[in-house]
Amino acid sequence: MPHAIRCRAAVWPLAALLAAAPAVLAWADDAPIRLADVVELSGSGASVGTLWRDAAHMAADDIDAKGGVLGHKIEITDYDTQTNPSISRAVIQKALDEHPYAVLGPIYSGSAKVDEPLTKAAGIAEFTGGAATDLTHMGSDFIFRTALSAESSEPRVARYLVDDLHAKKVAVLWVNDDAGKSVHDAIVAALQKDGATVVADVSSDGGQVSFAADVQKARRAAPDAIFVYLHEEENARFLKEVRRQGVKVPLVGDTTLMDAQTVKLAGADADGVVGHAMLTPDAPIPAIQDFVKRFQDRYHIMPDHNAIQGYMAVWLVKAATEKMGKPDAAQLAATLHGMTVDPATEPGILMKTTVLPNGDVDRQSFMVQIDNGHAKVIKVLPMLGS
Amino acid sequence: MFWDNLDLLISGLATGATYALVATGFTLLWQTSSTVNFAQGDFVTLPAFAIIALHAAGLPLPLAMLGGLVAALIVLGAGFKLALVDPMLRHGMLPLAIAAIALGVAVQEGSKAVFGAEAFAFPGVPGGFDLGPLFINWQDMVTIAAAVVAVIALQLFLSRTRTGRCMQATAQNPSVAQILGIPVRRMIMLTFLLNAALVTLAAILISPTTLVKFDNGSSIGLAAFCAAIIGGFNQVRGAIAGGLLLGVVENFAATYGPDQYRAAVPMVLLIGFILFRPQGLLGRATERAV
Amino acid sequence: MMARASAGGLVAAVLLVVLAGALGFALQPYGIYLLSLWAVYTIAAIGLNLTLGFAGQMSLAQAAFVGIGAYCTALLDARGIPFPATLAIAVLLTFGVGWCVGYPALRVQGHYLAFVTLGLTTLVYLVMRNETWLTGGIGGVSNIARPWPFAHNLAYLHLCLAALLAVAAAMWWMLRSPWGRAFVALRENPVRAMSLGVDVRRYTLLAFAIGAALGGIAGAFYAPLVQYIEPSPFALGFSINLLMMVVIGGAGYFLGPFLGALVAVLLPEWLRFLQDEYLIIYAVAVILLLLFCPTGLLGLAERALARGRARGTAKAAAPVAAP
Repeated sequence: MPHAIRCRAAVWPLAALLAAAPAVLAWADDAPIRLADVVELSGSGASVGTLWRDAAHMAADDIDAKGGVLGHKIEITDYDTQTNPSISRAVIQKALDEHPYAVLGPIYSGSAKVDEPLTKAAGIAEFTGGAATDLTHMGSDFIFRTALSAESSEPRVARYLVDDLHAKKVAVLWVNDDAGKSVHDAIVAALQKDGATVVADVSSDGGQVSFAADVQKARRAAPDAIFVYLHEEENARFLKEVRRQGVKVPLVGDTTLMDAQTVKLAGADADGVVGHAMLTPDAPIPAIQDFVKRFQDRYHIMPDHNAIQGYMAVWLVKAATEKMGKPDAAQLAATLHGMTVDPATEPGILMKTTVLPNGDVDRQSFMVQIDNGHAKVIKVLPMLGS
Repeated sequence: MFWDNLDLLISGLATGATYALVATGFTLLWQTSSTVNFAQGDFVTLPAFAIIALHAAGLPLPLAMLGGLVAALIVLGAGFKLALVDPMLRHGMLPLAIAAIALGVAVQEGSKAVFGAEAFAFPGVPGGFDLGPLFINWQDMVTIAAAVVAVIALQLFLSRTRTGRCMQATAQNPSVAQILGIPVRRMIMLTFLLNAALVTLAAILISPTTLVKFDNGSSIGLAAFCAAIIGGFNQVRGAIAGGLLLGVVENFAATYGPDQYRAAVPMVLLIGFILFRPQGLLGRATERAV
Repeated sequence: MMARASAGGLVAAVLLVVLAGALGFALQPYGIYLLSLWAVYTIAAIGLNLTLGFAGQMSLAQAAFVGIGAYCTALLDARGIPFPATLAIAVLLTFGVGWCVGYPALRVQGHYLAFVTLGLTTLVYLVMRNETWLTGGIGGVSNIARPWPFAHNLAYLHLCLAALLAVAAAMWWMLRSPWGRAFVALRENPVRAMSLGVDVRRYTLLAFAIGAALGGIAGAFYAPLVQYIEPSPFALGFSINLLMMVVIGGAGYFLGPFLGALVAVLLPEWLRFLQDEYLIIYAVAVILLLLFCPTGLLGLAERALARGRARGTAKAAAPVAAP
């Protein structure tokens, strides 16, 4: 039955005791800080969730190697949401049954939304990678983002379109799923606020093969620029079609358009696209470059923004715990609100991060351009609060 | 406006041609062995992955394609028939249809386990030519031409050659065909091998556009079912008409209709045909034996 | 063939449900949630079993019916309508949709119902996703209340189990009534059933519509269980999953859905060490079962039982036959 006795949990501390008796004796009464990692390990979100999980484990090892959090080791247990909200609801329950210190994940907004009332009821901080705008509008004091929300990202993109590209008419092409819808709603609102007109608003479906109609609709509206938010494969198909139809206006996106996978699939068709990246492995920040290198050495795969988020989440827990002076799960969320973590004092956070009162996060972000198959950061966008 | 619509028509035909190729094999299997192959879309993914793997292993592309074809003939042709269809057909069509759905899941999850969840690029025909203000991809032209040629050749094979006529006889009535001395079992096997060759051809033609990803089969398969039913389930040449029509209608509907409901178009066509013209575009009502 | 809705079947179903209810007291919320999910899946699978196992029609729309039931409950709950009323509306609505879809689709024979229901699932999904004013769109509906006084996990489990029991009893009664025997006759031999005066089309349609309504009931209990719904769980994948549940348990067996849903809920749990790979195992198991025993796990058990009994009788008979 599901309520199996976890032998492993009993064996590990014992083995640790035997192996490192002197060290353990020194902090014998220090229980490890247990984090529940509730992410997408199978189903359509598997690739994203696996990167997050691997990075979180790497963060725990990095922290432990430096003596842990106030002397406590970090122990992460993984749970698989199967990219399915009803399973996510089940496994978050399982995770909470074991009284974790904090919850990492989920990344998909649907799964995060199911979990939110439960972590709220349990009073446990939850760090989600979800981008949906309403995640931090649902009245929970225990939900925290690890990345900028669409609501705080897209105004930056709109500003770039209007100020830097002088675009007055913008076509918006987007994939109709939870991430795409959040981005769409945010960019349309931001463009209107900045005085630009959305002249074409074209939604597509995941897995769509032909983008002939999408591109033509956009082209017929004679826009000054096209904003695109699609998945990587669809980006590649879209870019190919844009080049075929000879569309010459600037192509601007967010996160996925300049992603390494898009560039790999689209080849030369991706050259010249520009996009906003809330976090990117290409960021010209030594701490991020060091993280990327170590991640690649360890897992032999390129980390993406999800990996960076999973890594940062664990360090955020560490920073807040050290601020409290002792591990106190009940006070963790309250401590996090309004807190700023600076890499000068906490290098593991990689970038200066401020947790806003509603659980959103504020950070620098980047405008990235693809040039000859390589992502280049062309502009660093300041924090909102600076 | 004229050129815009012409562009939609041409790119719709190119997409439709790929649907048609997958649908043709689907129809063929249905005709000769009452197999509703719900895994047909995933059958396209397998040779594509095989070709990519062989090419990555250092084989030149034509050889890799040949290798993919051989693999498809063995696994998706003979293997599928001998291991799954033959033992299961005696239980009726329903268990086989469900087994095919499960097979589709197994193929998708299996290729994800081996190749990962990322998409792969696939080499195609580069470049294109100008047609008035339009730029037409050679790849699209090759796809349309190959699909039309393949289906016409298949049609000629079925109606003009002795083997083809034996296959048709088998399709129409296996027991009578048996009595007439037609090697029914061999004919059915031939159908499965033909299907394997068709999906390999489809994989080669589609993949430069669709890219290769473990779950591509779902959408391709869905489009192929729709194309097969629209064209007429019991007509090989119907599949090409159904496929082309579907590709073109999708393009125009997405351009002039509500784009949030573009995925509804094939489904509405599918349901509409089943309700009002179940024999399909080119089928004749009397030919429906099932 | 064995009476597939024997008294033993009902007793076993009651025992299973009572066992699950008792187990709830010993489990943490996670286990309770899984058991509740099992109850909901089982109700949906019982409906599909009627369509597939008894009427011999393949439906790929069961997820859509569960979705309609779930959205019905969630949206009406938000407007303050009490649970019993939303449940009734969900049942009527799904029955009606099932009837309207099945009526024309069953006019044409063959696999057309499978394709029409495939289309229906996609269309229902699109409406759930696109009509934000009605369904909340891709963002879904949050904070769905559980009906008073079943807010607590354990109480809600017992409510789901009670619903399952009621559905199972009704199904059992239906299958044993003359009306239900016509279903079985239909399944065993449609031609003979037709010659005996069974209106095949009407019965098939009724089976499909009732199956749809059971999907609606499952959905009505699903929404307050998860307390949040969005369109994606009701897409084609869930229909396929339900279909596999019925097949694994044993299509046409009264207890089949109970067993199939149990496997579906617990398998990822058992195979957790495989992470991603459990779906391959699941799919391959379905294929193997269909290959070697198309009647599913229960058919396999029945076969083993019959073989054991035959061996027993042979042994007992041997000395008598020897002299």
